[in-house]
Amino acid sequence: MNWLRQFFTRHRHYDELSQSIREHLDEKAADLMDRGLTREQAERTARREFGNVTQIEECSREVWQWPTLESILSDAKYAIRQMRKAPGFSTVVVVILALGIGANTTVFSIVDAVMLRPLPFAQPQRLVEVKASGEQHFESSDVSYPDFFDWRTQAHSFEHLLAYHDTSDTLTGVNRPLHLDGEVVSWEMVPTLGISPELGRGFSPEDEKQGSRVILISHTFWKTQFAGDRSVLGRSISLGGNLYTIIGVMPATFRFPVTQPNNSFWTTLAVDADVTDIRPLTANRSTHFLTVVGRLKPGVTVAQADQEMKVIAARLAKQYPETNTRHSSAWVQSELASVLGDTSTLLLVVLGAVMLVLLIACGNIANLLLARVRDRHREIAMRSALGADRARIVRQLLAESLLLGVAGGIAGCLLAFACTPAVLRLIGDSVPRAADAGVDLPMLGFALGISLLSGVVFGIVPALTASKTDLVSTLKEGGYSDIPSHDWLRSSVIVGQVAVGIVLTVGAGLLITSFVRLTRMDEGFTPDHLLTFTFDLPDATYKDTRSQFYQQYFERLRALPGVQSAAGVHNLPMTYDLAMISFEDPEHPLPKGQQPNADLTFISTDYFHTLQVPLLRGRDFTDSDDMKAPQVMIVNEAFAKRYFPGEDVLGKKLKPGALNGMPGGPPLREIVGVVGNVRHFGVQREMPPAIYLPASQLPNWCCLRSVVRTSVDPMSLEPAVRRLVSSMDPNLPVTQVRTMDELFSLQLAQPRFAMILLGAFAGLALLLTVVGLYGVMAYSVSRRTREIGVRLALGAQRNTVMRMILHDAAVLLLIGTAIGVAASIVSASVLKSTLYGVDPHDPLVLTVVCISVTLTGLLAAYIPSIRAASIDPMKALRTE
Amino acid sequence: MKSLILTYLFKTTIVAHMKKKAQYRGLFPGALEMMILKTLSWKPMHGYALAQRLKDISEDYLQIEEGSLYPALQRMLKTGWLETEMGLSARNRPVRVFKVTEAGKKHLEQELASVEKMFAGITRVLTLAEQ
Repeated sequence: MNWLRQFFTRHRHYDELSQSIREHLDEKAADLMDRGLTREQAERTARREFGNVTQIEECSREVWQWPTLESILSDAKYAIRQMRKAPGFSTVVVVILALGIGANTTVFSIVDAVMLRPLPFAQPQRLVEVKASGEQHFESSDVSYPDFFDWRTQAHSFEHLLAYHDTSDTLTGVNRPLHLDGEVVSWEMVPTLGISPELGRGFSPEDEKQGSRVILISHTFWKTQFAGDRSVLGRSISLGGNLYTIIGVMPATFRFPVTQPNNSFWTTLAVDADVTDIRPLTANRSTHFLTVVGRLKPGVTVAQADQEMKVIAARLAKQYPETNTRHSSAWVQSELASVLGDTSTLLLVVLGAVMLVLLIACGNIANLLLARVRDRHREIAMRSALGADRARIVRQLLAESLLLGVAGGIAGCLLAFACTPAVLRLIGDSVPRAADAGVDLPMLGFALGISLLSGVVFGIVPALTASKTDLVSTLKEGGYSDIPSHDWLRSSVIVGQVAVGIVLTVGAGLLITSFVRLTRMDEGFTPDHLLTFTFDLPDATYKDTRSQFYQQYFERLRALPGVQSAAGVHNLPMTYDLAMISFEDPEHPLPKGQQPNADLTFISTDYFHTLQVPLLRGRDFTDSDDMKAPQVMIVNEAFAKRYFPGEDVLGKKLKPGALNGMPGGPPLREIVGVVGNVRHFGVQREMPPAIYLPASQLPNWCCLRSVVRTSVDPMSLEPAVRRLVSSMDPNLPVTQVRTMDELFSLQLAQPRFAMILLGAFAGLALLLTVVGLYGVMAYSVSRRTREIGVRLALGAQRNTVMRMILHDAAVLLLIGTAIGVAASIVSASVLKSTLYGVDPHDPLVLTVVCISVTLTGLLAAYIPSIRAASIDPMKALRTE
Repeated sequence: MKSLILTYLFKTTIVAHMKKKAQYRGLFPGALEMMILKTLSWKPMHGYALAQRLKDISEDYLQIEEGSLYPALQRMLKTGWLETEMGLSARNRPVRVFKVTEAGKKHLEQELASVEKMFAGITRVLTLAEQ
């Protein structure tokens, strides 16, 4: 701590130093006077022999200082003084920077949370996802249990393979029945993820055996339901009418899958093994619904694992051609990449956009600084005349821009604090892990980093230019000389800004067009005034009575006041539920593995009427389509066109692979109706073929989601609906109560936030560009006042002067636009995967953007041009 | 012999010092400090007296700017080889005198030893080189 003491006592040292030097001079002068010199002569001689007192004192003082730090401090002090001397300028710069840095920090905090942070598992870089696929990647699909079991025994690249799928169940035997989300997993969950339970044990291989019912619960569930009681181990809870033994509690930070933060329990695949079905799920190789995560053995690369899995998948396809022909390959990718999916492209586009905005902001500030350099020419020339070398001046000017950068950064951080929650609300659930984003310490570090970086970016060129001052001419001309290269520099900055602005605006324009097309696209049904909700009918209670329950329930639901019609559906549009089923055409038999397939939806009666899906031909399902009646199905238009072009599909008999609980495999079904295509997802590029089956002919299939068309505000029916269900069975909690509009809006969350963010950034970029252009033109007019005065005095028309200024602006705009259009054409294809119904090179969008940018730019130049035209030649010539 | 070496050192060091900080990267780092320590350990002195004394013993061979001593004195104060206290000048005026500390004495001894060794080496080479 010696240096610290010295730091605080150094003023005493300075005093003593001065005193010593004074004593030295006095003593010497006295000696000299003894030799006969006058006092005046003696003092002068003493000083001469001593040397430069001030310099020596300064040199001696420096011993006590940290020279670099202190000269930086003095630079900073000077910079602060400069900032306060020009408050208007400083405010403008800080505001521009705050916008740029605030936006960057906000977006980057989201990118960090979503893409950069490791997954919350042990050694997450060794976690990979394994997908089944066809020969090409894009056909990738989920995995069936038997395939997973084969992978697990045959693959050597992994320490563990873990399969899982979502589930949900009703907790009963408590005060109020509770709907819980959970996960069915293979036993390797704990070793694969490397996260141990905080209480109890993980699953063991025995827990996968048929009949086993053990469960791991989440920390939150443990705290809320069991008040954190440690004796919870070994207790049983009733889920969906089955008793499960609690064997452990997972820690509070445990989230698996990371996209499902609300999971309350994890149980083993034993629940899928012993459904007293003809073929339990665990034995069904054609039902693909598992996600598989693997932990690579140390030293094994993703590529090696990928190779091995491809070999295994090909082998299985040969062994089981009936089921695996479509899944003859597999691929392995890092778990993080698979969690992110397409989102990373979108986020990177947004991040790129926001960085371009900052670049434009830096361009503006650089231009402002260049203009200021002209005002400060004389000061800088004076400093170099007094001995400052070029590096010293550059350092001083850079200190000023860095200080501006830091001030802007602080304001930007405040802005980011304010904006992040709003942006997160906009994003909602559409981006995995985004909810974890926040402006924390690393983000502040990032903000500081980009602040300093921007300080250098916008400061370096003005500083270098300024330091190149030609001393003699500047001082001689009284500081009014000009550096001709400035205009060239300033103009190129503007051209660059216009180009970048065009790129951003084109991007935003494409996203907006795409979004508008999405919202205007025909859904194939009428989405307003629809209420949807769901409840489970657990096998334990309703295995045999499900159909009767539904029939009664829908009758009573339709009788509620405000209800126009109601129906049940499995795989409702605008939810993420989807099932595919392959079917057999007895007239054109194909080998099993090559059978065509279609989307599968099973529905109650009145479904098409409730959603207002047009029935094009044939008939709807009726109550008489039950188990005893002939088995039937309805298809959509796309199905008819794809598989029976030019034929009448009504009356055709097909065999979709849907077991109805009867022996003898899936029954042959007659097509009794054709309905219009229904859009299943908010963002969907084409209408795929679909098959509808009557729920009453699949009594073993669970469960239907209710959809109600109302004559009143749909949400106002929620209490009545809850009362109705609970009056029929108090152990059936109603969940996921949503209007169709809400579901639709949730589906569009990702394109919406991309559009809003990119739109906002493009707007900001355009605004900054226009302001920058205005600044450059206004500056140019003020600099050319005398020239314009002379022109006017010599008889130039005011129109000509105006045209001259507008012409200058137009040249800059056109060059910038041309570069921008070229850059857009090159770069727009990154948006391809996020665009719907619009080509990345849509000529209309390009044209509209170019015209509007050019017009706004000319408008910005119009004001300075008017000022130029109104210059009074007499005044202009007199002022110089 | 020793005084000649000191004089030589003194000269180079002071000249070097005038050329900014180059002296410590020169041939004899620490030479000025050594001379100051040697002089002051004979008797604590104030700056003027020290300068005079250095001039006298080098027999006016050195025409130096007296002020150049001060940065070196400050450095030695900072390092702890010197301390200051109030004393009297030759004219009986109260002045701040510089005094060698224990650490300073130790440093001087070490430096003298190493310089002597170095010069012994150099002298030996110079004497024997052509034999």
